[in-house]
Amino acid sequence: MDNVMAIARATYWRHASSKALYLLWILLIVLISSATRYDVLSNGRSKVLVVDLGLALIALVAAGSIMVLGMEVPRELRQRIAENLLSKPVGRDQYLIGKFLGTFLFAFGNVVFISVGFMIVLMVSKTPITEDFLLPLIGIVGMMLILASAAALFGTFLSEVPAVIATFLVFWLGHSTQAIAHMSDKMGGAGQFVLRAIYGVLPNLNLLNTRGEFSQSLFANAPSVPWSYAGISVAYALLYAVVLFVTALLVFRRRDL
Amino acid sequence: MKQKTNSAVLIFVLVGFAGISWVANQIFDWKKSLSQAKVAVPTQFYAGMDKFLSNVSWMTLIQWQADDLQMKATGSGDKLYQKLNALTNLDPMFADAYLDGALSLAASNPDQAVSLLQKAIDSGAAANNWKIPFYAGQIRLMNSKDAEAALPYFERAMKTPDVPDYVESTFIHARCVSVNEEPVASMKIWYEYFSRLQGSDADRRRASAATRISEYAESATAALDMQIQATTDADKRAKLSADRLEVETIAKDVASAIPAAPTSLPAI
Repeated sequence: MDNVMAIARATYWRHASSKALYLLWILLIVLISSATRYDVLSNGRSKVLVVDLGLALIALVAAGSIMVLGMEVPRELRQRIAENLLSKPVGRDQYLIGKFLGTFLFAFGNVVFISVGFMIVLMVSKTPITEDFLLPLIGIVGMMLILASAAALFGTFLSEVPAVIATFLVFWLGHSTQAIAHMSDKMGGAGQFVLRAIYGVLPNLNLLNTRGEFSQSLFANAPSVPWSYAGISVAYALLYAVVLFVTALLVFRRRDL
Repeated sequence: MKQKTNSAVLIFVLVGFAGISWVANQIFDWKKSLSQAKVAVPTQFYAGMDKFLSNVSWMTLIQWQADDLQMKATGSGDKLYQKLNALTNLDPMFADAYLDGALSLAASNPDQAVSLLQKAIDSGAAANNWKIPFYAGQIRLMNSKDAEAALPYFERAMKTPDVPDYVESTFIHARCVSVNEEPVASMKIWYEYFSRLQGSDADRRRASAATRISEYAESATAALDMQIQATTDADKRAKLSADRLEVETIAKDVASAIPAAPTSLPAI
């Protein structure tokens, strides 16, 4: 456990020590706050724009931060840093779990940083903030779990660039997998069963995306997503992340270093 | 030993994926029941940024509409409809886009305007927004000149929360148009509405309805008098006389509700 925490800490601090990163996050918060100036251009919808832009950027920051993991493991393997580590009494499982935890904490810290800035922007722009604001953020944390385990998996058998591209594709296409479920609903019999099974196995990030529903409940009087949904969807993300990460461990154990 | 562990992990992974598949499908069905709007539109491939992109699309649409050269070009109505359709696919609950878009399309292409508003109704955007079915009804009534088609929209608007009074009186007006504003039938439609209005808060509406009834009663009496004089058939004359008596009775019944000075309120 100490080994895992040591690797996690080292990974976290290596990423988090970059000062340019925090400047970038501050610029993002300024960008979100600048959306309040778009009232005329958006025909009186600047508050909607602030909320939608803010949540979209938080999701992008989360995904971007997690993609570091896809690059981290293959880079260390290529530079033989991992080999040095693994020659010490550190198991492959411990190494990968440490990398996963360090990167996840780094991404989580970034999301918290931007979210606090975003909330300050909302308060200044007098947009009502309710506890429901946490619903989309819980979904983003769930998305980070799945993406981190996908990045860990790809990092174990792909080189840096392909691993990052594959993680990005999971982020991009994972939000649209419901197309398969909708297609299956139009079919009947075995076709429907097979497509639904395929849909279920894919990383369904759309199940965790409640950003649109939150914004609509805030501005269009649409019903809000219940807290129970957020809880169950994040439990799904956790389950998916565990299974995918165990797959990553299995692949990493068999990899010839 | 190591191989045994790996086999156990492999079994765990396979069983895990089967379980995940079941859980994901349950959550999908749950989410589908929570937001019907997304089911009504095609799936978008924008990495979950649909809602944000709908705002960008909205701002570019406003600029496009403000450009005279674009809007006066041939086929601009179809282009506008396509843009609005794409925009509302990104955010199916975007009420302003449906309403502003339908108003822009109403004069040139009422069918497309109503189709856009129907999409809003199908996606659930009209559940708490009376304006969407009301605009659809108005476009059918005023632009398509199809009062029959307008009636279901007005009825839907009347069932929406926080609906203003004039939606119901517009519905009554549309019903009269659907009977070609035939004086006796129209008067009865307004009288039915008048009789339903109770309480002190309905005084203004009762006055407005009474004025309409009185106007229709005048035309109905004149029309019935002409018909009574023109007919030689005793049975028909008796029926027309009975109708005339009914018109007079209704006119007398509502007379006390008519304001002394002509009301400045619009008829609908």
